[in-house]
Amino acid sequence: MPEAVPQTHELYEEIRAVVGAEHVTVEEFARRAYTRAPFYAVGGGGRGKIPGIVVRPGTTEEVAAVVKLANRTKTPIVPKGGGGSVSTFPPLYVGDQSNILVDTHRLNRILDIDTTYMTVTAQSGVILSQLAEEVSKHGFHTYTVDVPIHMDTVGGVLSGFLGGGEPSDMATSGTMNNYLLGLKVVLPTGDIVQTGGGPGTNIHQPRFLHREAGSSDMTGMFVGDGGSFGIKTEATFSIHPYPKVFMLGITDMGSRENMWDAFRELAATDPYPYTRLLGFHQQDGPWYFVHVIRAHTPEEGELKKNILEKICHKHGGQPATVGREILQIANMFSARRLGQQALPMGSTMTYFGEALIPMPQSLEYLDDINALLDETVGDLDIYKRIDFVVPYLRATTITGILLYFGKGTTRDEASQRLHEKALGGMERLFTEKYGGWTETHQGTSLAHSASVWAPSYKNFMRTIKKALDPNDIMMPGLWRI
Amino acid sequence: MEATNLALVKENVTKCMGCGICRGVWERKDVAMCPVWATGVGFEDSSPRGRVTVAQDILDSHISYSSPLADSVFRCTDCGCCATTCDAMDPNTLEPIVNVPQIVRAMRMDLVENSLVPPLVRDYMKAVHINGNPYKQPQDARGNWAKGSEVPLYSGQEYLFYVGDVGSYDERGQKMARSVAKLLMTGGVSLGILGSEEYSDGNDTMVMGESGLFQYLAEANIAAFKKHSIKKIISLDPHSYNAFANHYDQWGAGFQIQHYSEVLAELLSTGRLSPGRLGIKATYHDPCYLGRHNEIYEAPRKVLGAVPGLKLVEMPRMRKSAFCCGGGGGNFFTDLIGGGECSPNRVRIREALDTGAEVVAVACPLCAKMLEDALKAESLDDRIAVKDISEILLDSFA
Repeated sequence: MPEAVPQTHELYEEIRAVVGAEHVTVEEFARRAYTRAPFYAVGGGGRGKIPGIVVRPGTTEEVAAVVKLANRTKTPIVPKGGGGSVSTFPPLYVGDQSNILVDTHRLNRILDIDTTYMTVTAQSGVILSQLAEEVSKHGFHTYTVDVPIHMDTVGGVLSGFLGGGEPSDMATSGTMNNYLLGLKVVLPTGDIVQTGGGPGTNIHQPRFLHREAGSSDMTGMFVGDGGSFGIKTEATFSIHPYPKVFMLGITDMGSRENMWDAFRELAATDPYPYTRLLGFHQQDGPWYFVHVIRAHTPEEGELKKNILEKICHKHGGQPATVGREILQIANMFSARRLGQQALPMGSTMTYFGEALIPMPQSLEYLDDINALLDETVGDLDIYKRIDFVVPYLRATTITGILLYFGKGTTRDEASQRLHEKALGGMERLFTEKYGGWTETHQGTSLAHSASVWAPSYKNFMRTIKKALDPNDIMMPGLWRI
Repeated sequence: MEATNLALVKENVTKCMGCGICRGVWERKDVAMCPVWATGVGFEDSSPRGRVTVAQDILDSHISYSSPLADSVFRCTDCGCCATTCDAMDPNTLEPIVNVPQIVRAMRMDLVENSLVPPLVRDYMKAVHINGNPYKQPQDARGNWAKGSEVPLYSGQEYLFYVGDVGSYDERGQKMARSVAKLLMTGGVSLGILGSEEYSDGNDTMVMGESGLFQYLAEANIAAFKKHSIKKIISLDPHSYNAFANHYDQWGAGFQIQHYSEVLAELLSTGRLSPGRLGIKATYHDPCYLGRHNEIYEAPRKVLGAVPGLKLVEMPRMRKSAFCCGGGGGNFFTDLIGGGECSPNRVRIREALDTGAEVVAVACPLCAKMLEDALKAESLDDRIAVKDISEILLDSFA
């Protein structure tokens, strides 16, 4: 039987007075709807703690009022963005049954697009695809995460995934947090703070130009904080002229050695000859590169293409003539279908072991997770597995396996087995062999990062947390600090 | 509490990845496409992903159906956006593996069977059950819209012109029914109506989970069609079209169904209708039951494209990505979503206005009414008009 879940909350009336009855609920079915992590079947695990109450504030001031109530009563708060967390553990393991879940869905306005100073200011509940779309209408682009672009929010992404993510179509140019200029944050005490070199920090400066210009880089302190240092309500980013030229290509690199030699050289080339690069390999098949080049002029595009082709050719690469299936797989990182197009009806897929790995260890890691996969879920009906490596800036890769289960394995079975048997092994692999440097979303790095922090660093984090959140209400227990 | 209907679609429920793309459309890279989620009414449970999670929790006996949950479930407009955008899609059939509208319909059936429907839904069902229409109007008045026109009762003509509830009883729908009938007859189409022998098509009844009432209405209609040996039907309302095309077969319907936009397009392409010049800029709103549910995108556009001088400017969200007006799934009658600033019809009319069009063309009486209501709420009456494609065509003749 499920655990008994309370149907009332001690702060219900006061929160209702702040946001209005239609924006707060204690209904169990509504609270349970927030406990899912994507990529795991609803019945197969990956469910988080059920909040005691859900609130949807519409303004920074409403967020602050709710946080003050929580602080007064020492009630745990869990901020929630788009619910795009794809790691094993949803962020909702923190706190207890009294948790106030702050859903930022109503903080969904883009407040300002300034093409002179080249900035955009958006509320934290804005979906990244919306941000990209609105900025592009002005001839600019902003750096956002890639695949979950349609579901992740500004606030969620800045709070997790090491503070940023893989930019959409602009992977070589940096992560989102590098282009963050300032934040408006509701601190755990309910105070509102504006960071960055702009109004609220430097009263003579009307615009954010550099986030460190007004003071120490307080903005950075809130990046990747998992929401534990405060609730972000607004963010200002720099924006950049949109590169209109788009070129796509696929190269057959043959062996793994060829692919890896070319991969390393491409990632070390400055400026990058590609905008996106994905290396992938289907069992018993050759390694392929799929690349995207974006440029401001056709000449720039051609130049990049020539450099890229020359490097690939030097290491044995040939322009690939591929069928529909390979093209579909190649789309897995740029298409909304996440590779599902290659599935037979009734099949299901998931990522396995996808992690941010230091480049020198990437292939070893790939071998490790393949072995782990064989040991733990190898007996399931695995229809197809695809190894992939993507450069993440210069020195790291996003490495993992795209796993397709055939009709003999339901999604429920697959995710349950992965959850019960494989994830523990992954956990040990991440922390014990690779130092816990893994891809983690939305502050879910409890097990991955904190366990490998040096004692002095952990103390430092604990001191910051204590100073900002004396009652330990914001994501209490995150990182075990 | 029983969840027998939901249990039948369990496999559908468990295949959901929970990715959340069902809330929006990648190609447009814009705000949510799910009209309920976009409205901001309700919480995560009112998003397609949340609905699947709730369904799983019911199947796992973590929660039971309740009245507040019923309010959430009945807000869905059955627009089909989530099913169109679902990431888990079969490449050969292009059918989504996770069909949220199907899950929602199963939950609604359970709610009906457990007597947990919201009062507004109950009132709708009751009105249809007692009166044969949701307007609580007499059955005898069903054909009154045609009085004074030359539209005859059916007596062996080639086509039955099936008008539906909104076309029969709603003033806006009646106007549309008259203009469509006039054009069809001008084009030489031999047609008649059933008048008081026509019954509600039952589409929205079915979508709201009252399968028994739907079967009753479907069988009543089929009996009437058979009595008159009707083989070909032209529907005014895409909701009727959807019921006839996709659901009546199980009771031996045996007739051919076309939406009037398809017939008008044919009349125009064969020269049986020759529109005059009309120098206007128009945009077209795809009705969900015509577009996403039945993939009729071209015919209405062909009608508009045949009018000399008419410039069609598309809204960014169109065809399978079109944004629902909010009137589907029974919400036209129950209004569980409400008419706030972010309500789907108001969002949609603002999108139409952004195109610079003077006219929003529609091909559904419910969409026409929803968007006209939005015009009033947004005080845009003097900037943009809502017209059915048949009304635009008639304007060109004038």
